[in-house]
Amino acid sequence: MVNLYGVQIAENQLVHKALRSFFGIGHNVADRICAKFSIHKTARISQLTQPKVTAISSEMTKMVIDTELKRKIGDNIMRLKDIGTYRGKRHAQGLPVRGQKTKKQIVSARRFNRVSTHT
Amino acid sequence: MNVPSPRPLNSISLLWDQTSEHQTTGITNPISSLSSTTAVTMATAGSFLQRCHRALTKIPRLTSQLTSQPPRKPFHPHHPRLLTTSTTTTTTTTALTDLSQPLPEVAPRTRLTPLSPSYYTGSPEYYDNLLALQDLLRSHQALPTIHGDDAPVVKWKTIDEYRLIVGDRVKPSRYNKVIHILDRLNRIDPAIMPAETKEVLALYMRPENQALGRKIERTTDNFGRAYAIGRRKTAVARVFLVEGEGEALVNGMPVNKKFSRLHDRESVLWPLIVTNRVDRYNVFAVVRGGGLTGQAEACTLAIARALRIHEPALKHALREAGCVTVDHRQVERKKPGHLKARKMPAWVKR
Amino acid sequence: MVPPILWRCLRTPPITHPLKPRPRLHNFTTTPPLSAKPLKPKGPPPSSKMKSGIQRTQSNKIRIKKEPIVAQKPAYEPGQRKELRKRIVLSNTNAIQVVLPTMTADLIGNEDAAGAMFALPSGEEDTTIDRLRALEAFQTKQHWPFFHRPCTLFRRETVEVGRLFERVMQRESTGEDGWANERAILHGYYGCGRTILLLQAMTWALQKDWVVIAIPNAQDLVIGHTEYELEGNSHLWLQKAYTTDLLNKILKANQKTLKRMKLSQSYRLGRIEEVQKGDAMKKVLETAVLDPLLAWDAFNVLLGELGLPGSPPVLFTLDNLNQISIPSKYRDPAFNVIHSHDLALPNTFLAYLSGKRSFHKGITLAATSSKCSRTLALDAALEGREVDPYERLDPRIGPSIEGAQIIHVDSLSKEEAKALMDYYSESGIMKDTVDLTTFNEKYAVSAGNPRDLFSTCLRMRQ
Repeated sequence: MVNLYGVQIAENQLVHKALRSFFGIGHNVADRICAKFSIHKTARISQLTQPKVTAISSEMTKMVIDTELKRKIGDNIMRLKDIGTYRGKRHAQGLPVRGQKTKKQIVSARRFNRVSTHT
Repeated sequence: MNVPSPRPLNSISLLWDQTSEHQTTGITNPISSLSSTTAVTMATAGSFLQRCHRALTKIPRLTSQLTSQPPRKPFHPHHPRLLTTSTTTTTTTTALTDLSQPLPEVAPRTRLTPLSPSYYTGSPEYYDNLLALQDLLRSHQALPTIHGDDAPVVKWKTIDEYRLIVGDRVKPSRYNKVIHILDRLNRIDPAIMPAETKEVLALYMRPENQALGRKIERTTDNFGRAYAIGRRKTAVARVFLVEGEGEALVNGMPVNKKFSRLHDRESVLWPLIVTNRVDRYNVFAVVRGGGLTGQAEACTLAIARALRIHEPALKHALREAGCVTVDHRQVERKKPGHLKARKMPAWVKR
Repeated sequence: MVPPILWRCLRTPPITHPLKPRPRLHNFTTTPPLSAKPLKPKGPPPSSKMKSGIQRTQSNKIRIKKEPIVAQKPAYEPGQRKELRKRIVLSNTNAIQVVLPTMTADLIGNEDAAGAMFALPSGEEDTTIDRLRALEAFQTKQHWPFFHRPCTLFRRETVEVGRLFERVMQRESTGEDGWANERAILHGYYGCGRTILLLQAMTWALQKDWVVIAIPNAQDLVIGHTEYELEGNSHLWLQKAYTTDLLNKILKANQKTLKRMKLSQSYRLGRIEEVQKGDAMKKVLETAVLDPLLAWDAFNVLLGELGLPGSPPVLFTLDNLNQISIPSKYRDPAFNVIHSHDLALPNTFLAYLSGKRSFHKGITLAATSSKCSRTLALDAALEGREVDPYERLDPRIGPSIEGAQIIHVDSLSKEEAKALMDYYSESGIMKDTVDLTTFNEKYAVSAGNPRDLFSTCLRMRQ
């Protein structure tokens, strides 16, 4: 197990995939992080040297990811709600925000459009 | 037994044989007497030509003259269509042209029987014709025949022309039966074909038309190239075939570059492979349109045709290999309301 | 009033032997329970294969019994399938043995041998095939498992390759001190036998005790599956893991030659390791193989030594040249695509191929591939065609192969095809007998392409 950004990750995990397990890192960002540290596509966590792991972790601390990102998104929604916008209201009601119909199929909206989702 | 009938007969009744056999009542019942009359009819029918190819002789069609009678009326014993031998025809015409005259008296207590054994088939003229041809074929069945490809090229009468002979009730399938027999008769060795058959066949041939019947004789050009076109699906192949060492270029490429599928390559060279001519000819093909399979099979046809220009004797072998027949199938068009040509959208109740 | 037939249902169950399992009583039945077979004792089923699932219990409730999760042994170990896929079988004892002459180094440049089959050298003492195997000269899908032993066709193109050897050896024999470098690219249509020609060249080189360096598939270098890192001085990207592998192959294939090779000076490998003047080259490689950090330095030492007078001749081959003519899958820290030529190994090979670097005596041989996306720039360069400025082709590709002789690998001639087909027939692959008709047909259908010829011969007509 290797500690990457405070998370224990299995050794045989692909680096690219391990990076993507963090909220806020997708394929593109993971590609860029890998490129920055010259990590090839099929590299596994076990193949990384300790300095490299540290470097990746410190790189990730500079980015807004994981809980920080979630908090940021939550803050944004709270702001919308606090200033009394329509979008904020819709978030609070758990309804679609961007003008979708609400006759049917608003499951996603109910699930995600909450004020407290990301906090 | 013969009791005079009080019922007058109209002019059409003349066409019936008047027999006195088995006559019990004054009402005519042709069905019951049909079997007994058949032999008589056949005997009196005269020669084959007179019986069945009457309409092709100089005698004009009777139906056209029967203006008083609607031609398409359903058959009824009392309103029969004209069925006659040439001898009776003349009498009929005289009788018809002079309708005002009183009808000739018919012998009393006689029963009308149809001349034709096919009278109750619905289209007796056609069946008479067909049966006659079948008889003819049966009588010549044992004669030696030649291959269909070698038989003299004949253009038979079209279905419309044939309808003029036997009446317009002929369906295409029935017409095809006749043509099938005619084709078979045509394949009798010309050297020993009976004169009668020749005469009969002549009746069914289309009148000589130079433009129609002329066959273009294809030969190799100055450079020894045979040129032919083949089509398949939407592909068109133009092929030049020259004697050579067995090189094949399709659109300027060797076959293995043009067709990556082995099967397609085999298709292209198939006419040469089956005739064992692969190493004797060079193929230069230009093929446009369609997909790879279509292009390959268009080449097959074109090469086979070009090969026949070089060596006409290979026709049988190529036909055996399926290289001569044109596959004219095309993609069926999509129809509105359908997902594809035939496929319908899934049916949902609401 | 209960009917007499159902009295039994009201009775208490009879006393049974305490050790025997009690028959289960159902609420309503007309079958005497004692006549029924004794139930199986409860407990875990004797084997895991026993039917599980829905079981109706006395309380008439459906209880779904979960299957215990058993850690199953995987059908394949990790990497086992890849190993199976990549395994190269060179012999099939079911095939009929064909007696053929051996492909010896005497045949180099022998035109008379063209159009005949030859067996690759094998025997008690001869390790050529093992060394070729170490160099990955044999590839899967070359139909080796169909035959009793590996045999190849001596082609016109083989003569061409032999000419390269001849020219180098001529210099060697006359004792001239000048450099003798031959550079060539094998180019042709798919399945025309370029890789087999490389194999034949390697066979000769190994027999003549040349040093053979072979990159069996350039694709491995560019698809981003091996480590890479920037080397500060040259601004090239090193692939140390791959280089270690390569050194390993070189070491396995050229043991004898490398043992004889002595270093002309001392070198430093990596930061600490040092090799002294007069050490065997074998020792350098053996050291480097153990530590990927030393690999690149050791490889450079090898190449440098091979460039010095008195060094053994070299055959440096690379298969699938097209792969290093398209952008690699690697990215630099700024997320720009790394050009394949900026990777150190391809760069080195191309330096030899274009004549920027040279061995003292040696042949640099590349083969193009058809299993690659379009490489217009390389195609233009191979054709020697003037590049249209509006075509926007990669300007680095053209110069990278400049000056290399291009050997066009054509389709088989009729004599060659006949020899090959006879060999197939004798090996018992073909169902049909090889007469002129069959030959003409198969030759025409395959258009003389060796790969297609094999499949036409193997295939039975429907």
